[in-house]
Amino acid sequence: MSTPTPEHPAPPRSRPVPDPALLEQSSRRVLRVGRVAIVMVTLALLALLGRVYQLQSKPSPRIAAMIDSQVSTRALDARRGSLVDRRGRVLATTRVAHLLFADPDIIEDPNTFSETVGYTLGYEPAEIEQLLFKRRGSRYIVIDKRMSEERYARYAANEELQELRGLASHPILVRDYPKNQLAGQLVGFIGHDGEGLDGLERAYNNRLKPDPGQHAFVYDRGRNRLWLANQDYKLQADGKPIRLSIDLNLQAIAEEELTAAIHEFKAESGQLVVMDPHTGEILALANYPFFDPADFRDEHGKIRDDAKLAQRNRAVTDMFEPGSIVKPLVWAAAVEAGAADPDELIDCTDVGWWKPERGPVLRDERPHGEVTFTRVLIESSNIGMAIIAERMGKQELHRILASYGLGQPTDSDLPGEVGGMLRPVEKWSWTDLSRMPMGHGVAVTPLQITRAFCALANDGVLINPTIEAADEATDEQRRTNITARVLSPRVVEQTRRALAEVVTDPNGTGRRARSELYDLFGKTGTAELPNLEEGGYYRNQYVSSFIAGAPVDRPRLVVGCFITRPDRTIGHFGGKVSGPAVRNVIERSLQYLGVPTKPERVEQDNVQQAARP
Amino acid sequence: MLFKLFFVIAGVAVIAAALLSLEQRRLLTAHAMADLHVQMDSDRKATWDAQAQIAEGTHPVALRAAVERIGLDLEPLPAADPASGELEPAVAWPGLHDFEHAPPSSRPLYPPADDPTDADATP
Repeated sequence: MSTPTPEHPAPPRSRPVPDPALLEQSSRRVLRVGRVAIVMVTLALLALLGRVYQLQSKPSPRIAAMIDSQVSTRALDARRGSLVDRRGRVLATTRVAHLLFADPDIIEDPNTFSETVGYTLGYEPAEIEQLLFKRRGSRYIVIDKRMSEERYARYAANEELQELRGLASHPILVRDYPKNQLAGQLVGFIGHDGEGLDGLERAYNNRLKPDPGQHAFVYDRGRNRLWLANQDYKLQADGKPIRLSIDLNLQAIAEEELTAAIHEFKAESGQLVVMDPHTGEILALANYPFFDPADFRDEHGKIRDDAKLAQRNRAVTDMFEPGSIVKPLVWAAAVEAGAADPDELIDCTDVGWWKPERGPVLRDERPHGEVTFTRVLIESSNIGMAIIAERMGKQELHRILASYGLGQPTDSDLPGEVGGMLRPVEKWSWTDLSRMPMGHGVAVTPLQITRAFCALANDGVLINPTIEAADEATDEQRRTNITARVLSPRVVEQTRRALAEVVTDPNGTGRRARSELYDLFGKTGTAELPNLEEGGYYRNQYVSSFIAGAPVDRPRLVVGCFITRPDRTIGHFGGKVSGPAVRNVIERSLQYLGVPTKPERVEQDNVQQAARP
Repeated sequence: MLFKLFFVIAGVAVIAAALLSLEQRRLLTAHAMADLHVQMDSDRKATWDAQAQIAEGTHPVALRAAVERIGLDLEPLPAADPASGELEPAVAWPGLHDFEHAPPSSRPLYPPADDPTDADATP
């Protein structure tokens, strides 16, 4: 066969004609293989889907363990409710602090570790080293349960410490009392488990208590947080804040003046109560010695001995024989009932002692002679009050004292409140009839007697003391706070006029409480302390009290001061020991509340008169 | 036939890509949400801290000392009810007939003091 040239090209190759039968056979095979492949792929996908479903719904224990290790639940911290004063200033709140701990297993050199941590953060290196070896095998050794802010800042800023193997910190919630001892006993404290143990922390525990939540995160193999897991999610709920009726400025004033009086008379303890007589709200409640809820535990976490003595809210937990501060209550009730007239002459004897129809002889501090019933109150004559009590009788006197709420708790919500002591009339002796009107044989708490005195500043209406401020209380709500009307406004006004003379009269027992700024009405009390071991009374131990309200024409505040065991060589009468403290509290508090002083009122009157045509 | 198969596979691929993209976005959103949760928790605690610090800095005694040091002349707080000067709005008290010690009639409960039937004869 010759080679093809351009002149003699090769004849064109003839393409073989495909056999149609073969073609059909081939395409059938492809189709069959395709179908099989599709079926297999479909089956494989279905198997995959089934496996996915099985992994999602019922994974094997090995797989489940792997999944669980990737999901980690953490608590959503909720805050315990704050305690705030009536103007929203915080008394107790919850904040974040930091705990410092070590893991001895990964510490390379305990000696170097202790020195680095100790010298940088201000701990004793030897103590840290001791801690590291104290609990062998433990991987969680707490070095500091609550780092101070300054120490944590130093820790956070120090790169060497941040990279030190085996040292770490984590945030914890702690209860903070930023006002320290201010109203300390009132606020109380919580325990390590976060439950209120004393004071209002205990009384309102259910409302303050938070409900922590939780959320779960999915992590990758490198423990990087991926997303929220669809499980174990619970929203947290903070505890409710509670607005108290006290005003921190008034509380500070009360504590300052109480401290000054206690120090001046070298007394053992004292209480000072400030109330709004119209609403019954406790505006300040001071107890000396003071208690600091932020600092009362020793290094072992136990309550210190001095704190044990101070932690009690004695204004409601301790009772005492009130002495003469009960007289205005009996005086007003006697006038109201028609048993005596303010201008009636009462023979208090010229010798200073008097023998009742039954019972032992009764004495006055000094002879008063024949004086009006009003003077009986001003000069605080025991004999004059006993004479009127004899007229009224045991039943009526008991009813009077009970009507002021003596002998029963005031329902103030304050924990540990006692009801005082007012024995049933069947158990009264004849001595009681002459001693009760002068405040002996009956026991009250400082809050109880201050609340009773409020009736004299509130048109005769006895009102329940409250420690929680009412938010936009309606008239109806506030009326439910009323216990009873015990006196008429007319008699209350007469009583206030008489009590004003206790302060202004040169012979009045409360003359040391006289104020140049406001007109006060008040009553002094000096009661001997009972000797509970041997019976009878101590000769040189007293509770010196003074309760007063102001201004006389429109009382805004009632203040009671009760000082226990003042040094008799310095002074022991209520007017001398407690009187000036009450006056100072009233003057400072009323000015703070914007109540015009006497000179300001005279000035205002002059301006108004000048403005008249 | 191949064209149809290609079309189906391409369709499935597009749908799968779209689903994967959606799933990726869901995961990113979930991740952002998780970060926000942590951030919110942290911010809440920072707020608590700030509140506690403010409370510490507003102790009445410290404030009074500061005011005295600076020499500020502060006005008293206005009363809630300027008309009456009361701390709280006035309330209508119960009527006069409610009080406990009032004589039930014009006749006094007690006879005059010099009456021989005085003292404890009263119930």
